Amino acid sequence: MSEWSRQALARWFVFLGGGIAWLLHLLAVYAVGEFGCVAGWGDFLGLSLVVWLILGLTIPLLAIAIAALVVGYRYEKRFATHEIRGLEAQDPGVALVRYGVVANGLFILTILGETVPVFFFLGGC
Amino acid sequence: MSTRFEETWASPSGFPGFFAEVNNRPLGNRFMITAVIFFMIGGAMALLMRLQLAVSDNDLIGPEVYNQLFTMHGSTMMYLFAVPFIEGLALNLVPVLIGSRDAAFPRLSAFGYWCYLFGGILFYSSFFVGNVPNAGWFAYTPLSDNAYSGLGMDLWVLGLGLVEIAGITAGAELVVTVLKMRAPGMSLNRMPIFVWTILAIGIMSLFAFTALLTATMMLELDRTLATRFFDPNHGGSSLLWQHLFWFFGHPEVYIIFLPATGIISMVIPTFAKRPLAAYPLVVVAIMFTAFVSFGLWVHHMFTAGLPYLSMSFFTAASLFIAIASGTQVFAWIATLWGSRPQFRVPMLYAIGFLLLFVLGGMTGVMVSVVPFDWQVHDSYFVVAHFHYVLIGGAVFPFLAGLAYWLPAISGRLLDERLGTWGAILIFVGFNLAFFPMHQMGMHGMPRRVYTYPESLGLDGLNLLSTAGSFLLAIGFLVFLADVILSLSRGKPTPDNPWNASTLEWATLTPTPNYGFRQLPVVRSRDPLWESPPQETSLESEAERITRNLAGAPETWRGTLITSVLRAEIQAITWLSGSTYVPFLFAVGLLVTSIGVLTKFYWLAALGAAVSLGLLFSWLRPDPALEAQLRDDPAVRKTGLPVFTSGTRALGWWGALTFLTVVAMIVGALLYSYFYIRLYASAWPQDGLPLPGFWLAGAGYAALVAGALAQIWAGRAFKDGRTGRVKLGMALALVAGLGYVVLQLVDLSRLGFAPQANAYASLFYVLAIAILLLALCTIATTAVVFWGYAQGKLSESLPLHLEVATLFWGATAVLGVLVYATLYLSPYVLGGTP
Repeated sequence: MSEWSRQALARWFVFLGGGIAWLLHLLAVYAVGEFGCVAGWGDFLGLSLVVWLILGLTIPLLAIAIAALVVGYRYEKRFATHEIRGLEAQDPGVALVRYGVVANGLFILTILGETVPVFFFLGGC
Repeated sequence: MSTRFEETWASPSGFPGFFAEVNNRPLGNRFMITAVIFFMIGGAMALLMRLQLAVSDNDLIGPEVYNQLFTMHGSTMMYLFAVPFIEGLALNLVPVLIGSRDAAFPRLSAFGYWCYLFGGILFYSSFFVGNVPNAGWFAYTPLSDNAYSGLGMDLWVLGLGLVEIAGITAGAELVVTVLKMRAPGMSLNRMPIFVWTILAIGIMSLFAFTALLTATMMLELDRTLATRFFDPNHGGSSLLWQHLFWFFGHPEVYIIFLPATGIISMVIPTFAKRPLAAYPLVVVAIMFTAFVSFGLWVHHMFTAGLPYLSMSFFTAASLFIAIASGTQVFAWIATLWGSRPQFRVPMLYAIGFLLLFVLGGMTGVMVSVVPFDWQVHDSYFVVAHFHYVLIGGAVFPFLAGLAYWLPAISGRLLDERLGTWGAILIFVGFNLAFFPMHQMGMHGMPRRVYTYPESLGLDGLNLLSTAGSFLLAIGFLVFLADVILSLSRGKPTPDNPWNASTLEWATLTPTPNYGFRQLPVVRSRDPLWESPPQETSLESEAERITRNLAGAPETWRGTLITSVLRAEIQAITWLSGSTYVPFLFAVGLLVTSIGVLTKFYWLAALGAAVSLGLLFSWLRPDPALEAQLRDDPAVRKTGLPVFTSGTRALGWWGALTFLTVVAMIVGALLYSYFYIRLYASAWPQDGLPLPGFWLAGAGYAALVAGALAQIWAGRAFKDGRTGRVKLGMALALVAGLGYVVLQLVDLSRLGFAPQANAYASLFYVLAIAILLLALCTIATTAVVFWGYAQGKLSESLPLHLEVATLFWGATAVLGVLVYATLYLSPYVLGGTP
């Protein structure tokens, strides 16, 4: 893969990574919640298996969203280091990264927000 | 005197020509006019309901008619007005806003319009058969099953099916148009916000409408062929319908609302005379809303008995979406802050929207909280909430958009005084009609009930609400009168009457069919307000190309294709001229629907056969046309290709959107399969045997082999090995046909019918879905193979090969998923849970 393609891929990852991670997270936790609660999955180490599975799914998906944010942030820093003023208007790739950084922040918050209720249902549904 | 270029782009003349129109602007107008007619019919129904509710214990309309009225009112407004109106507005404006001559797939636009019109007519024909649907706009089962609904429900379902097809085609059309047809230089970060919202809802439509299309197909199969998807007596589930419906229903609200915010983001900066504040944050808010809207469907089902844990996820998502909406509101306030806005008619509606939408949004946050929702669910509080969102948050912006853009569309100015009166009446009438409903709901007045007792003490508020609704209707009539008067005697629109910043005001008014004689080159986000003097080498090359294409090509409709991110020129593309094929294709589908309705299945088969024939003539490669385009002098002068492949070609994107829709259909069916499994006491249900996996396994293995052979053929083509290309495609065809035979043999040996129970229904429908996709793939490959073998495809061959490969890839992947689900998963998930 050429350097240009890698850069383009990284920028699209920054733009869409958090959103896709959030979507997968919601679908996964919904499926686990619905199937696990209805089927009455058991406990493990005092916590319901549903909770374990939701936390287990949240960590990698949250990591993807955080990775998108970090990659975006590193790009941002590089733009700042080069002191490129008004670059956003010139290079749409830069704009893509800037939109992505903000969006990833929101998606990370949403993933966390969706995970918090799990701690109120540690013993079951 | 018109030039040859103008004649090429002219609408076909005369009455027959009406059916051959494919240009985006007249079709956009037709969508909007038809939608407004449906809006008036739906509005009249609302007034009848309000008359019934004006006083307590009223018997003006009985409960049966009331049920029919609220069903048809809701259905009309959601399916036949709001979404089609946006489709029309977008179809009309997006090409000119992005500096293109037309939308990407003109015949698809025409096909979508005819589907929409025929769907609406089917919908309303229930009044003529004396069996109007009464199951609500959501058609919950079992209310919409055969046991409780008659022929009217079939008309509703099949009509809706056609309208959904229109929604999906519009989505595909708009996404590809926005991504590939922007003017040179209009990179993604220079797109007008309205175009961003259209891009977002185009993508959303592909998923949301497909979920509903799948659900309504399943419902109609339950009704006509006695399948059991939603029949709890045979292992089906009524809640499954609710899940599938709301997976469409909630995003639909945002499909309506997002473009409305896009309109506001165009109107406010124009009248505040300054660029939109926080453009990047508004883009993020749109993107975030588009994503998260798919994570809210369960918040319509908080009282359906779902696990508390599941509901909590959706409460969180519902609360977080308020951040995105709030961001947009603050951006509009920041744009207005410190400016000296002109309060012209579009701006009055925009200000009205700001107030009403904030109120509707606040109550939205309230009902996303489970305990509050339990208190007000199915009460008038919810009616007030969604009318504030849908009228305040969407109809007000639509009116702002019409007042803003009609001078460009019609070439005539509206009357300011009449427009102002209309805006005032609508604002006052709306608040009188709907604000009291919050209180009625809190006092326990239930919705969807035809009357209420005097003892509730709500007579005064109801009477006020009814009076308000009539005032609102008068306001709409004043607006309509303003439009009609302006069309006949309005002043001609001067150049850029609002001093706006975007490209729709950079061409003639009314906007000609071809949009721009010379395509613009864009250098900033507000091209009519600022144009950086420095010209880059890319821009000067773009200027040279657009100059060469001024008024050209002369004999065929052509426009530029640009890259997705940076909008760099990539090619010139051919766009279809006038043709009857889309109209006839839609007629074929209508005949098919009528055949199903009347149980004249030979008629349905005839309609389907005619449709397939027309589809073939639509998609068939045309070697003569290829030669004409290649040799066009204007094309030669620019040095640009007309035939491209991969992500440069519109056809590739068209195939991708089609396959996305197919994947979504299969996804919805797979979800249904596992959902039914979850609640089944045994699997397969009713002691049906486990499916044998060897024979079908061989079939699906053949499907994968076919995909690999096609990929091999594609690689051989790139290496210039003609013999291997033919061999690879021939092998793919043989493998595909092998799969078809094996799958048919397997289905014939199953030993149970699709009517046995929900498991059996899903088994057949999933297997047949892949079978149909495979047949589609085989037909596509056969056409390309035939054209290649005959030497009739030259320039467009790479694209055709790529499309065939895409089809094979999707068929193989979806086939393997379905095989694993149908034939292997019962061995893991089987038995009793």
